[in-house]
Amino acid sequence: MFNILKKELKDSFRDQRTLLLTVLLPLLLMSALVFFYENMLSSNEEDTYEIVVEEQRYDFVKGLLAKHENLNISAVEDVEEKLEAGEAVAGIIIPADFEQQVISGVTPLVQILGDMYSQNSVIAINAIEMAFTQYSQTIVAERLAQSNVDVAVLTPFVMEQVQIVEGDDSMMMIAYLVPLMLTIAVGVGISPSATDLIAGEKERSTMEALLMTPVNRGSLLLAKWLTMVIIATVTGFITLGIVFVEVQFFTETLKAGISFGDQTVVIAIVSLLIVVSYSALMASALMVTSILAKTVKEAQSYGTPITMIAILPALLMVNLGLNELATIHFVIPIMNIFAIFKELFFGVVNVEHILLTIGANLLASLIIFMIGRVMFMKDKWVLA
Amino acid sequence: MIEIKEVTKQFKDKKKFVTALKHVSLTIKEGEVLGLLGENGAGKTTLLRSIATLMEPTSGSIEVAGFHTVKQSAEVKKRLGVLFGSETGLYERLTARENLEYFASLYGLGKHETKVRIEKLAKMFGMRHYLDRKVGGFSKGMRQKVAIARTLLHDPDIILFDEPTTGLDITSSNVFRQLVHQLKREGKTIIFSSHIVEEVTMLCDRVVMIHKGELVYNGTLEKLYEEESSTDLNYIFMSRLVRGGNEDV
Repeated sequence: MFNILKKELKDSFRDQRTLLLTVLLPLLLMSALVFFYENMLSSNEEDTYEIVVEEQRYDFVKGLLAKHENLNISAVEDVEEKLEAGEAVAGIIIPADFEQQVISGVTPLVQILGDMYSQNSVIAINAIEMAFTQYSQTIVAERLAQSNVDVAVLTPFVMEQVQIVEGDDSMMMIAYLVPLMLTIAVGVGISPSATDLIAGEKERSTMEALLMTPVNRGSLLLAKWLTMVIIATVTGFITLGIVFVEVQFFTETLKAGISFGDQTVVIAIVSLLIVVSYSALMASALMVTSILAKTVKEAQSYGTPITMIAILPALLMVNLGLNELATIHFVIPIMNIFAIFKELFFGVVNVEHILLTIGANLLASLIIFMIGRVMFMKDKWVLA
Repeated sequence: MIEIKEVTKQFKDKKKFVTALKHVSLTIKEGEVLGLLGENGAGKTTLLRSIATLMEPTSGSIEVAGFHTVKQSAEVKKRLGVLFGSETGLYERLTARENLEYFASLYGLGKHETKVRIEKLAKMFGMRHYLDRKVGGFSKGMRQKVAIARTLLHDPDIILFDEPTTGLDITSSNVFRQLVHQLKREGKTIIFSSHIVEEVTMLCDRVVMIHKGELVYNGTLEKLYEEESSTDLNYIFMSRLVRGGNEDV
């Protein structure tokens, strides 16, 4: 069996597609992810947003938004025209006699214009709304004072949000996107080998030559499966390795956010074990599709949905918080990858959940492998 | 010796059964060269695959050198060399030597024995100069030589060739024919299927004609010529098929 494994690995790594998908794809995917988030997180604090306001109201708005240094206010003739031209992300239209109307007790209309589908526009609009709300509260306080009413009547109680899980929104997204990229990278990375190792052998008629040797079919299949597991695991390790190296040496905000402290080594080892269990699962699933197919093209058609299957549990898991994760999330294969990485990224090392995840993936892998083995023993699935 | 007894092979095609071999009985003696003639789909490949342990007969039995092809398949495989069709079945990203070394390891040959066998076969087929080149760049003739070398790597006593010269040029076909003569001189038992009747005439001691899964002739060429009062094997083959009830002929 070792001879078969050795040959399969040599043959697979001589295939440029394998090299491309096991090394280059994770490098591109993960680099894009890491640098996108690094840029997004650090830019929120430093970016400035262009705001436009009618010329005659420039001084009033400038004064109102004075504390918001990241809002760059310009006076223009036509606010809407400038927004449509993309020269600003938000605009403010205020009646010329705004202050007069407020004093006389009329309720003037303040229009804040922007694009709700643009993140930059939403950030600017939120800042403007916050400034006008504060101004509104000041006016209310003045009116109450004039009527000898205590301002405290407006605040019968106070509320406070307490975050019970350490971390922030960016950590939540990273904890979701890294396993998504990892699962896709492993699936795509293993794909050329999985299709070639069985369907390819049938198509090239090397399968008949192999079956004519005294090596039993079970050993043959096991060697091919192990080759797939090794290639998938290498892809997974490279994927996580790239994230680690890039976050550690090329980012500041992410590096500060993703810090596991004393648990770094434990989390790293657990992550690698999870990659191995997931690789075993994907290898079994793609092995069966390769047995089902008579040609490489057919195997690719069957295998592509499997390599992308992670998207479905990813969608189900995206909005779940750390405390909402239940045992079921760690028992369902593939879904458990998202659940366990969510915990690990927030520094939670739950031994029971880790064992459930690895165990569930390995059990599913074993069941699928056994189905593949039964098929591989039958002539109709191995002879073209 | 190969002993085929009442072998029937059925395949399930959608909901109905297709019979590829019907009660085929045949004995092939040691050192004999047997030609298997038949149209495409007649059952030649199914018969060869069954002898080669790749397919299990639905009923009946096959023994190769005294070993049952289903119950003792590993023993049968050690004694058989098989080359199926013009598809040579080689790994394109490996060199010819790596291909041969891989199969030698699967047949359980030691390192020294492998080296000696590869050198001997490379000399025999004139492929020394491209032994360390990747198979991906080889011509069809070169590939066929490597595939034949792989078939003979473990020095099998019985060799099965399934339409080995299909798609080969004249030179490569002649190399193959010379090889069969040489193997015959070495006392090897050979079965090869073909639809090229001239090839069968040149190489075989005995001919088996197969049509729609049934044997329609089993005997020497001399006996066949005598029975049909003709030495034109093409004509004999066609007339036998007509008598065998082939409406398409």
